[in-house]
Amino acid sequence: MAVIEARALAKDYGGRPAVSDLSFRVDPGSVTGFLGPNGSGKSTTMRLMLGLDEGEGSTTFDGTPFRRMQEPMRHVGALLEAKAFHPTRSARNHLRLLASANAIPERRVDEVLAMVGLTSVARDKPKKFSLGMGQRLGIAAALLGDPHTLILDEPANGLDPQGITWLRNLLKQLAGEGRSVFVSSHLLSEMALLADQLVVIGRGRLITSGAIDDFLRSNARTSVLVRSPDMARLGPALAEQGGYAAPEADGSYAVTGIPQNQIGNIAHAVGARVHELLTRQATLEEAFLDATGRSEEFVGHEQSRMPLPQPWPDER
Amino acid sequence: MGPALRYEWCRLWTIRSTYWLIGLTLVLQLSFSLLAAYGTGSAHEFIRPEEAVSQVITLGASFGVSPLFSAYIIAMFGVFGFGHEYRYGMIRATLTAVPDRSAVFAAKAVVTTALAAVLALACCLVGMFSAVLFFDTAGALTSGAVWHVVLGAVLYTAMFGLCGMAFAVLVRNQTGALALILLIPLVVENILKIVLQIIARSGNSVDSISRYFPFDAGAQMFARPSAQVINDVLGYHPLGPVSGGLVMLAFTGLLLAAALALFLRRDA
Repeated sequence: MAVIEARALAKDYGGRPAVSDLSFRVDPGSVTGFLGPNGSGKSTTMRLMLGLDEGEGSTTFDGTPFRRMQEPMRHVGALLEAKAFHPTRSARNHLRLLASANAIPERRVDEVLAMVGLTSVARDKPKKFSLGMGQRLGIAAALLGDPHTLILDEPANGLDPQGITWLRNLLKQLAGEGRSVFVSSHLLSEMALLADQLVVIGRGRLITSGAIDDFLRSNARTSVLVRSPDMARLGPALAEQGGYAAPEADGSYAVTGIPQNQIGNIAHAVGARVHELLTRQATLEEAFLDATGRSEEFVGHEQSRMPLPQPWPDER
Repeated sequence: MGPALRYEWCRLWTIRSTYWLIGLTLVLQLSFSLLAAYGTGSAHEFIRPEEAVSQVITLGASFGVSPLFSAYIIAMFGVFGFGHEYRYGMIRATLTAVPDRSAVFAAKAVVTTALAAVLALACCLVGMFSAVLFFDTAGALTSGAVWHVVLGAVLYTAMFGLCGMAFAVLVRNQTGALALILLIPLVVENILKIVLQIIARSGNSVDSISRYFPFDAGAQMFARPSAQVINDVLGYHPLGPVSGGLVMLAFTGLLLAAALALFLRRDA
């Protein structure tokens, strides 16, 4: 079971940096999600990790760079993009071809075809395949050598909802067996269901990495909804403790900077009535947008702004 | 190198183009050599049997009047070796199965060379078969002169295939590589040759440059001495078979070295 260590990855296309000084680590036994806006360098990073692109830095899998591996598919399975196959070489022959260089028995070819549900079209030509079937063939290729590490670039692309559920369960199962799974996606909701760890990049630079729960908790959008008729008293008290209360449209307040239980204690101390007290976890999408907002290259203009803090209303 | 060779071998035999290209090569060689043998047979009292046979197996290329036809079809194996990789994005799948790029390159070169040599030999044998059908070869099939031509054709085709492969790497485009391997020997070299001859007639002695044109030089490996008659008329003095072959070998080596250097450095 392998630890992936990427150190100081960098790559530029004609002077324009695609990835700069990117370091992260992927541990076995977890699904690590690789997030970033379009064009932030996710695919380039994955190609750098596998030595397909020439750039700076190094990536090792339990200490060995990919390009120095003998029979690499038995260690690292990769899905880089759909359609990395010859349109008239049958699905089965495509896998046999990959297996031939990695001392993988033919029995395994049929096994992975069954695993991804392509047995019935094993002898068909991929030019007739749908996007989803092509993606399944790519996943079959990644699984072929029963590798301890998987690197998957947008594996859910083109899959139907059943396929996505199947993929999610498969990746969780593989991680549960102690493998390292590194998977990029632009589907944040999918990532929220799938990943335990995150590596977030923007403009080719690391924004954050770590457990997905920490990422969400530390995000400013995680707030506590407070509904109180005594806000005129409670508000300043919260502000004193470093909290920030933003009024919501329905008269409640979204408080950030103080956890729920402490807000309750403060309310009790100042004698404020509280009708509702509820922690609202930031969604991965909100956290992601906040984290990558500054680095996003092609940012659209927002229609509306967050409401500005208002003076406390009179006591009712 | 072992895994890369197994991969390349499996790659070759799991695409249709391999089969139809082999079929096409042999069918065209058979058809044209039958025609050539028929034509030669009716006039074979005028030339020596070994020259007649050489002409049939090379479809006239041994006289220096036409290019070595079979080599141009067989060179497609070299072009496809890398052309298919780039055309269909297979190069990424290939390099995740065999990350050692030098090994991938070497394996493709070995398989291209072997396949081109075997097919070129098969074409010569097909030509001999046609010759036997239409005229009395009078022991020419076992003569050293004929087998020198066979050897030359085999070596030329193998190097020609390697040049096709190198072009495919250099331009990373199948169509572009096919155009280069067809146009350089057939058009570019000939136009330059004519230009140089015109300059030579106006007083400068520069036609000695054109004999170092790689594909023209390589063709001397299977050109018969009788081709000299035509060359004398044209005032053209080509290299001999050995030095001509060496010139083509050097060119092929340079082309392969440049292709490998780029292949090792470039993004897949």
